[in-house]
Amino acid sequence: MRIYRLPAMMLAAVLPCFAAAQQDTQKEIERYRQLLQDGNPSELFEARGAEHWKAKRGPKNASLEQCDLGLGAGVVRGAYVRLPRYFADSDKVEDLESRLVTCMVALQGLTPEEAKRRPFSGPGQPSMMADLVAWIASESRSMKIAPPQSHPKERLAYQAGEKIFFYRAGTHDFACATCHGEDNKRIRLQDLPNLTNPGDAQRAFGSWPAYRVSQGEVRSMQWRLYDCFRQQRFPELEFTSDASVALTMFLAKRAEGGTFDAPAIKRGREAAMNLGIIAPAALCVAMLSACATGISDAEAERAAVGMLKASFRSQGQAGVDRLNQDEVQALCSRYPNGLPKDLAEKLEKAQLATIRYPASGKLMGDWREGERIAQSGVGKQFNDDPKGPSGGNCYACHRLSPRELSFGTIGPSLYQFGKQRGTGDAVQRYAYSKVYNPEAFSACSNMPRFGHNRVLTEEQITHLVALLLDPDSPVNK
Amino acid sequence: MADPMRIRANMTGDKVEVKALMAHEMETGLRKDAKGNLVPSHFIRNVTVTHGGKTVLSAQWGTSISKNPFMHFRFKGGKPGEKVTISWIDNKGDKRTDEATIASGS
Repeated sequence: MRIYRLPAMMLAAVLPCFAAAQQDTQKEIERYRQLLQDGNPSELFEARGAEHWKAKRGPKNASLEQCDLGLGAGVVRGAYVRLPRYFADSDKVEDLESRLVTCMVALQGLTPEEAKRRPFSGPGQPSMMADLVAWIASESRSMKIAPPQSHPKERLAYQAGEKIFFYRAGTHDFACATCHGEDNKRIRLQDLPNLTNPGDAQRAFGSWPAYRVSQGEVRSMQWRLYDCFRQQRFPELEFTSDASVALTMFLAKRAEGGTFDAPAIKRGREAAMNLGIIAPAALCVAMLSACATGISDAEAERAAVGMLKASFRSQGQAGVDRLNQDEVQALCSRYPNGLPKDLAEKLEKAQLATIRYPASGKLMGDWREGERIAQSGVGKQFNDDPKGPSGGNCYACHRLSPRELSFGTIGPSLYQFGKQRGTGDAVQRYAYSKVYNPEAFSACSNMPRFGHNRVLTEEQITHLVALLLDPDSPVNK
Repeated sequence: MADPMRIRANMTGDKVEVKALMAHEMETGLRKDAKGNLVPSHFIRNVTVTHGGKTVLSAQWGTSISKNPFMHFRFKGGKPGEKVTISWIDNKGDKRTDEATIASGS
C-alpha cells in the first residue's frame, strides 16, 4: 500500500496544473492560428485560380465557365463540400480534380495527359490545377460538408474507400489506419487526427486544401493522399486515380456535417491548431452510413483491390508489386478491429517461426549505432536512395532516450526498457525477435516487421537491442 | 510579371489598417534545387506605401522575409474612399505596384 500512496497523491496534485497549462497553450495556439489566417497566402493562389476559370484555353479556345461541378454548369459556390459525387456524363465518381480534368477534356479539348500535366506546384512553378482547387474550395468556406450518397457508385466509392483506408501493404505493413486509427496519437511531435472519429475527420477534411508554410504552396487533398502513400512506402499514387477518389469519398463522408474551413494555413501541429466545434449530429450519421448501402463487404473489398491495382505506378524502388499483400497483411486488413483469438494465435505462431537469428549468436550490438538507426526515418520510400541503409525511425512512435524530446506515441514508451528487464539471454532474444517480427507476439501490431520484411539487417537489429538493453545506453539512464 | 498583390485597407477608429499579401518567391540564395545547385537569391528589396502623394511607410527587406510576404500596419490621416498605393522592387529589378481604396470598416 505504502508504495502506491505517494505516486497517487503526486498525480492528483500534478494533473490540474498540467490540464490548465495545456488549456493555455491551446488558447495561445488558437490565437496564433487566427493571426496566421489573417494573412493566409492561399488568397494569392485563389485569385489566380479565379482567373484560370475564366481564361480561354486549349484547341477549342474555351474557358471552364460551363464546367458542371455537380450543382449545374458554372456553379462554383458550394460545389466543393458536395464532392466527390457521381457524374452521369463520365459515368464515374469524381472528386474536384478529376472533375476538372473531365471538363478540360470536354470543354477545352485538352488530352487527359495535358490536363494532368502539373497537378501540384513547386518553387517558381505554379500549378493551374492547384490554383483552381484553391479558388473553388474557397467558394465553399463556412459551409457544411455533405458528400452525396444517393447513387450506387457513390456508396461503392465510400465502402471501397473504407477498405483502402484499412489496406495494409508494402515493406512496413502500413495502412492509413496505422497512423490515423486511434485518438490522441503523434508521430514525433506531429498530432495525428483519428480519421475514424467524426470530430477529428471534420477538422482534418475541413482544413484541406491548405497553404503549407514550410513549403510555401497550397496543397490539395490529392496531394495529401499522394504524400501519405509515399510515406506509407507504397508505389506512386496516380493523380485523380479511382483509389484516391474513393479514399476522398470515405474521408468526406466521415467528416459529414463538419464545417468546411479551407483553404486553411498549416504550420505543423495541425490537430492541436484546429479546435473547431464538433457537430454531434454528424457522429450518428457517419456511424450508420455503412449499414444502409446494400453493397456487400466482399463486393467492396473486390472493388477496393481492383482500384488499388489500377491507381499506382512503380516509382524508384517501390514497384507496384508492393500492393500485393502477404497473409498477415490481408488478414489484418480484413479485421481492422483486431483478429479473433484463434486466428491471432495461429498467426503469431507462424510468424514466430520465420525469425532468423544472427549466425554469430551475438544479439547485443553497439547502442550508439542503435541510436542512429532509431533516429533515421530514411529508407524504402520511392524517393529514397535504394543503395543506402534504411533507418528504423523508432522515435517516430516510441519514447526511448530521455534526451530526445521529439518522440511519437503510437507505440509504448521504451524508456528504461533494459533497466527494468536486465540483459539476460531471454530478454535479448525477446527484444531481437520483437523488432524482427512484432507479429510473432502481437497479431496485427502497428509496428513494421523490420527483419522479416528486410527493412533492417540482422546486424542493425542487434544494435537496436543494445540501445534498448545496454546499461550504458541513454535509454537506461 | 509578378502576380498582383492582395491589399485590404479599412478604417479602424481614426487610423487606416492596411493588410497586404505579396506573391514572391523570396529566395534566400542558400537553398539548393533537386540537382544540388544553389538557387540564386531573389527577394523584395524595397517596399513603399503612399497615400495622397505622401510616403506613409518605407521598408528595406532582405532574405529573412518569408515567401509570399504578409504586411500589416496602420497609419493616421486617411479617409474612406481615398487610395493607398503599395510598390515593391526586388533585387533583380522586377517591380509591382497595386492600389486599394480605403473602406469605411466596421
